[in-house]
Amino acid sequence: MRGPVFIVIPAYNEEAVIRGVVSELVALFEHVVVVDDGSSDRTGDEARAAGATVVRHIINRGQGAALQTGIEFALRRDAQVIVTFDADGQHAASDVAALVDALEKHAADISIGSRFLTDSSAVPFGRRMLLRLAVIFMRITARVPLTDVHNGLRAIRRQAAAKISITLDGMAHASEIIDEIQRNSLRVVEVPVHVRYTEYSLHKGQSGAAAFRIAFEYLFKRWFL
Amino acid sequence: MTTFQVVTLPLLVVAALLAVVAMRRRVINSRAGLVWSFLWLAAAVSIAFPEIPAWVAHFLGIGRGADLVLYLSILFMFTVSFMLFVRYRRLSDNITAIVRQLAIRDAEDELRRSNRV
Repeated sequence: MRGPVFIVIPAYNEEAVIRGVVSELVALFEHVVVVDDGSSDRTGDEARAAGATVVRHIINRGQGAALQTGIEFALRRDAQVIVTFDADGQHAASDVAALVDALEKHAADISIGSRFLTDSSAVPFGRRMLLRLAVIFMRITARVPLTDVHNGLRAIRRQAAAKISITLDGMAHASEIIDEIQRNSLRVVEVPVHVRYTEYSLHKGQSGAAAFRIAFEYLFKRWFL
Repeated sequence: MTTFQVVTLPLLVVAALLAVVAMRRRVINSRAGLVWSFLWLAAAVSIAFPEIPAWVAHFLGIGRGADLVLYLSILFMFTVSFMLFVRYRRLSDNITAIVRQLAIRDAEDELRRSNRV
């Protein structure tokens, strides 16, 4: 892939893990951007110490808002490919190259990681059921056939990233991005990736009641806004 | 006078006065001040003279005056909550836009400074 690849990591109060996540990435990529979403802890300092460029929201605006900020920042710095990466340590830095390569290989605008295209036995039962439901839900609403609709690991070509606009500041942005794929007729490809489930990432992640809130936020935008 | 009238009428008059005060202090604009005091006074009149909404309800083909008031207030509440929701959305989007602009500007300033040093 020609031109610089930018890794964008939205982070909110992740001081315990952000240094490790950034260190793994800076070893492989020159441009790692952490969007510190108004953290009250030392997330920004830790990320900077590990070698990331830090873009800081002065107040917390949500993961969707932070992603959009990171994407705009990267576009202004002439990123050719933008990779979104979660801050909680659930993604593997070694999976990124496959996502970026998939853009070229499949002439795609966006590649999305899927934990279900590989051995997914490590996915806890509750998560697996929730994510399966989310897949069915998104096939009905957005009609984009994906196997994992809430995976934070994606690679997006510059032209596609400029078209996608994330307006849902909270956690429903993953569904919104899928809507944007459909709306802009973007070519999408799924790439198998590993998701590490740790006590920490499970605790920080979404489940149960949050899933309903996300679905509600997303449907509300589709029907009433 | 019924007990209901004794309890609600003074409260509604106070509400209308508060609307006037808010208007005088420019918390709300003068048109909004008039609308709110009109609404509170209309409520007061409807309670003091229930035959007035009863007559209007009958004219519109609704059985009771109380039903007319109920329908109108529900309609009004839906309208207001919709307007508030739209405003909340716009406000929230604007805040995000400001926060984003600041974040990008500060980060670019920092990069420029570190390049110069």
